[in-house]
Amino acid sequence: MIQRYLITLQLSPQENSLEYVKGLPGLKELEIDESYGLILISPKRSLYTIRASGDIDADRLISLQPKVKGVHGDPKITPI
Amino acid sequence: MAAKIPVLIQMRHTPELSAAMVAATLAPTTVESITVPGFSLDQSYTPVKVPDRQPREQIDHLEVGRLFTFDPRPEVSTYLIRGEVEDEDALERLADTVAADPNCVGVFSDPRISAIAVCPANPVGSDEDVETRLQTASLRGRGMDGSNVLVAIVDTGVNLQHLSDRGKNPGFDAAKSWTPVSGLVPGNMPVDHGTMCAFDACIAAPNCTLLDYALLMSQTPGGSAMDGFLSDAVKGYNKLLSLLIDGPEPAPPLVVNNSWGMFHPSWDFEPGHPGNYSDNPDHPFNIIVESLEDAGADILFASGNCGPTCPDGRCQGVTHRPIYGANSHPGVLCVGAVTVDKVLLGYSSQGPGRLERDKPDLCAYSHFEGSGVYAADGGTSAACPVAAGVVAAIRSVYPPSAITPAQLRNTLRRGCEDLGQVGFDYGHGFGVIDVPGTLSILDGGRVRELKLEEVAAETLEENGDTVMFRLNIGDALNLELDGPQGVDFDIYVRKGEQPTTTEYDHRGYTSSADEKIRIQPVEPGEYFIMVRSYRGAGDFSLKAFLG
Repeated sequence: MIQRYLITLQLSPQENSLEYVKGLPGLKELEIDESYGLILISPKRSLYTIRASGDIDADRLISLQPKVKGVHGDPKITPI
Repeated sequence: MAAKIPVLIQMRHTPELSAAMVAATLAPTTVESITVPGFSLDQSYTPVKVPDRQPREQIDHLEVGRLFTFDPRPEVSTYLIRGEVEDEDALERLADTVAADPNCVGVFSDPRISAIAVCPANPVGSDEDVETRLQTASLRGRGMDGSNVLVAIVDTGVNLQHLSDRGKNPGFDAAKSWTPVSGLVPGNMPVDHGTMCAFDACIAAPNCTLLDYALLMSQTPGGSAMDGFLSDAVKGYNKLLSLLIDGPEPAPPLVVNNSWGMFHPSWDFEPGHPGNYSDNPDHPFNIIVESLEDAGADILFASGNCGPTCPDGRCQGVTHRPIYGANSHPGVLCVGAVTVDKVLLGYSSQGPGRLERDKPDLCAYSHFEGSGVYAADGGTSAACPVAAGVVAAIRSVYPPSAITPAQLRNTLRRGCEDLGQVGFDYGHGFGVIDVPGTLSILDGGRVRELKLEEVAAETLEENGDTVMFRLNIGDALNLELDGPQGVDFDIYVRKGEQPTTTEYDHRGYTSSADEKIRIQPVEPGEYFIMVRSYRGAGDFSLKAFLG
């Protein structure tokens, strides 16, 4: 199964577009899910997330791209 | 022959009793004043010290827990010893002897106990029983029926026609609803889990306005018909967040019901892995939960169905710390399940939680015949919307501008009817949600300021009605702590000496890093203030002022 990730980014108001994110070094090599988009998760901390898939070296990505604040899993959820 | 009656006797301190705590057995001479025909002392049960308990002063009306101070010094403690009496006559003689003995406090029963949790095959009671237990009539009598409150059912979708057929006719806002894929019609989804949740929310909040968030119909590749991925939940929560921060002021009260979660740790990265969700407050979904709560939403999560007595098969036998991720977030109300007879349901997941240990927060009723979607509205899935309905009903009168979500969670916890162990326990949380208890605390919060020489006019409307006034007769010392989100810092204050976690005059109790303490009237002198991290790390600011 393809591994899918949620990547957290900290972006200024001028940067908060998917087009901008897709062009960032380290991110432009990834398979970003464009239909998912760029999702605001914390207005106060200017944090956003995108969904991407493939083989992602999280440590390398974070060291390469300072706007990336985390690379997290996208686990399955189900009704309780 | 009748069975003997086990008893506990509580005695005041004597040096001999204190010394006997560490002895191999309890010599009868230690408690020789209790010589009663028909009573036999259990010499194998050495005395157990009970610390002295005194009510704490300076308790804010929205504080939770820690309402007493406990003094463990031997000389102020009492001690329990154990024995048996042959019959009721012997029990009466023992009670008379104990009452006359200044060294004794009382005689108490020592009932047989066992882990109480049930796994019923059939429904226990009905939604009408739930209404009775919740005393929904008292809610409605005060205008608490969910009016003007949005209730988002984040689930498999809602079928309004089914709700109507079952006598529930809440409002519905399609424009504020959300589906993860196009082609789905909010409010007209297949009758399933989400419709059950909507029905159960309407028990206490029949006039709420439902929002259909059909998250678990995501159809994201890799899933199956009735599940989704956390990335879908992030997207749905982003829509909810925009309702609060992008809409006109004031934002409407919003209650978010989440009867979903992860069932097994294998669905996630391991704890400690930076990509982990279950134990990681920095996962994007846990961050957006924090943001939504901060924006004013009341968020409720089911604790899960991985309780040790009869776990759901999807738990694959893992019942240790199964309250994963956002279900145990400090900014949500985590709901376990009891029957309408107030007995813990064996499948209800038990704490400690992964993100915050003291979970579940409370229990609500489940496993009753209600929506007709299933034979029973069961699982913590049903308990969660029952509690969400109570929250929505209260929000009709107390919007977030009057009581923040954190304050309301504390009020609900404090208002619980205690079940299980005294106080909080990992099965029941603080107990079962209790409407009269909660309303009583909320009423206590309605205190009117009275200024000197002001003539105040108020009305008492019925027997037992009260109006509370507060008269400010001196300067107050105010302390305000402002810390980062996602952590829990506490303040301890002591006059004349440095406070510790057990020795202090005043303390702030919120589950966040923001604390306010008001000491009034303040006495002149030197005050020491300790700021302590209960959970997490980060910068903070502290401000002190008089007024």
